[in-house]
Amino acid sequence: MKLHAKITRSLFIQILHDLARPHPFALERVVFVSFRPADLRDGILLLANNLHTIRDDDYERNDNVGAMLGSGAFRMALQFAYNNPVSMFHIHKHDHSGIPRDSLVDRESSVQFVPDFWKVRPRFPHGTIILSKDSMSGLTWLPNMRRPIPISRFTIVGTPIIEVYDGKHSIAAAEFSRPRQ
Amino acid sequence: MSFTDTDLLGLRRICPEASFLCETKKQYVHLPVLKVPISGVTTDIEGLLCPGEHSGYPTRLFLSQKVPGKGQNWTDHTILGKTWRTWSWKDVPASLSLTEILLGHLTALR
Amino acid sequence: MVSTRSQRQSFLGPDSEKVLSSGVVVIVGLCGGGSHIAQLLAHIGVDNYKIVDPDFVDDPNLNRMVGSTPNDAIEKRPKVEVIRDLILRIRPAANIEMFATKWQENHLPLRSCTAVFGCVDSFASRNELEAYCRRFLIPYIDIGMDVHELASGRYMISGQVIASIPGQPCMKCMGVLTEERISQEAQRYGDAGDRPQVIWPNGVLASTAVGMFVSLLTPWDKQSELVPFIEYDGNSPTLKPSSVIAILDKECKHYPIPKGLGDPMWNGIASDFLKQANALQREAD
Repeated sequence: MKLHAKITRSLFIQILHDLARPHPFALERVVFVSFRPADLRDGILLLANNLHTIRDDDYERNDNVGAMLGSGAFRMALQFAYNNPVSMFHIHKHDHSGIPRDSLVDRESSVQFVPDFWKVRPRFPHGTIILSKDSMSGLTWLPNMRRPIPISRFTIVGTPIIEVYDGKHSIAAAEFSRPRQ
Repeated sequence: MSFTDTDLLGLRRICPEASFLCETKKQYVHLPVLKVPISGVTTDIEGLLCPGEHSGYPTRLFLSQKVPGKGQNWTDHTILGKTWRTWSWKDVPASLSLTEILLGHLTALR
Repeated sequence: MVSTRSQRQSFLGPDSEKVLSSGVVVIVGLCGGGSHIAQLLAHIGVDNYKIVDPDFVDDPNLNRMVGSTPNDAIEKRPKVEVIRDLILRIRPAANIEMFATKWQENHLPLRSCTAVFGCVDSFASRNELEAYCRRFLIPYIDIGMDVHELASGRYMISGQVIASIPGQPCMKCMGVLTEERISQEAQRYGDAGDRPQVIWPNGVLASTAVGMFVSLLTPWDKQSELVPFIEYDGNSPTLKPSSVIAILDKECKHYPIPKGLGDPMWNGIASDFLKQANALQREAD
């Protein structure tokens, strides 16, 4: 099964700006982005439709991780998924170039919170996306599947069009993160 | 003319899950389960009613499948991300109620 | 490392060969405009195609359908086969999926492509194709030409190339598609007749469209922005940005995002699909 995520360039730039904002104590920021799923012949298409910013107050202090979200952050995301037919993805950024991979901490926390989204929006895929300076990767959990499925393709739709296949981006790194518009 | 949720109430007696959808400012009524006689057998098919002007017709009814032996000049249209079939059936005006518009189009399939 | 074949276009960027080769294009309509586009894309290095046209080659097509021969008309070959062969002569390793149907009968394959080229001949077709592309965030490049007979007896050739990028102004914003035009066209159903079509304006427009596509994928001129609406005057002859661009809003009023994205009737992964995915995962384990 193939998973293809698409996002407009303007929304992508909003995400980058949000993730770049400093936080009073967390080392990094996190956002949720909702996606509208649609069928492909051989998989699922995920269309990003809304950015859900997490308030400063909804982070918890934890010196062992870059960012720890409080229950308020999850409640906000769960409420949106309950009220709207969307898939919810947790997004954060790694500060390096190249294909980002989820750390052990990333994976452990994903496995805990993703199934909660099936309580409010069952039969929808939910997951996580990680950005790097010049690439992106993602994992999608489907109901009752033992392991997540990688998102095999990302498209940032705008001028220019940027496609990322299996972690390798289709355009120079500078273009990837440069907020031209 | 723009219909409201109140206008849907009558239509929901025929299709309980009828709901409004919109594309390029055109209003449609999604009819997830419409009972239509096909070759003498009442069959559940999906419908999409456009209660306003569409492709040169004052109103139009689209179906998820053709009804064999009924209607003329069937054409395909992709609306709301899905392909629908419709036939030539003019003169069901947009001034009628939603129920009357739907029944006006279903007449052609009897 | 650029191949010898792409050496002359290395100015498009060090990754351009890979980028163009990895993209997936859909061409809807394979006659006057679409045949040119297919040939140009093959030369420039695109490797993945989905080509769509329900028709077969007929004698009147031979005046403008690139790649078609009199034999194709005699044999009434499907246009998709003729264009497939055209692409493969230039790019033998290309992946080509053919759909000898209306695009509406096979629309799912469009959803995951890089861009759709629309070479269709009616406002209604353009309208539906653009609406679909907007819904699934697909960049859409449309070309069209007309030959008008004026009251004076003169003929005027005109055309346009439009890049309709989700989030940015659409063909309705640009005034090219209007409800009035679509409605009037529908009223004329059956009276349309055979509209005049010739090869050279199609060539101009197709080349411009492919240029837009290449700029979208490999922005080789960082100083200039994409011009989304180019008008062609076949009599002068000139190509110029439409004056409409100057008064366009930055965002589209007709296809606002996030409203109108995706399949509004999608309500979960089908059980068969899940079973299949589970089975594949178990096999892999």
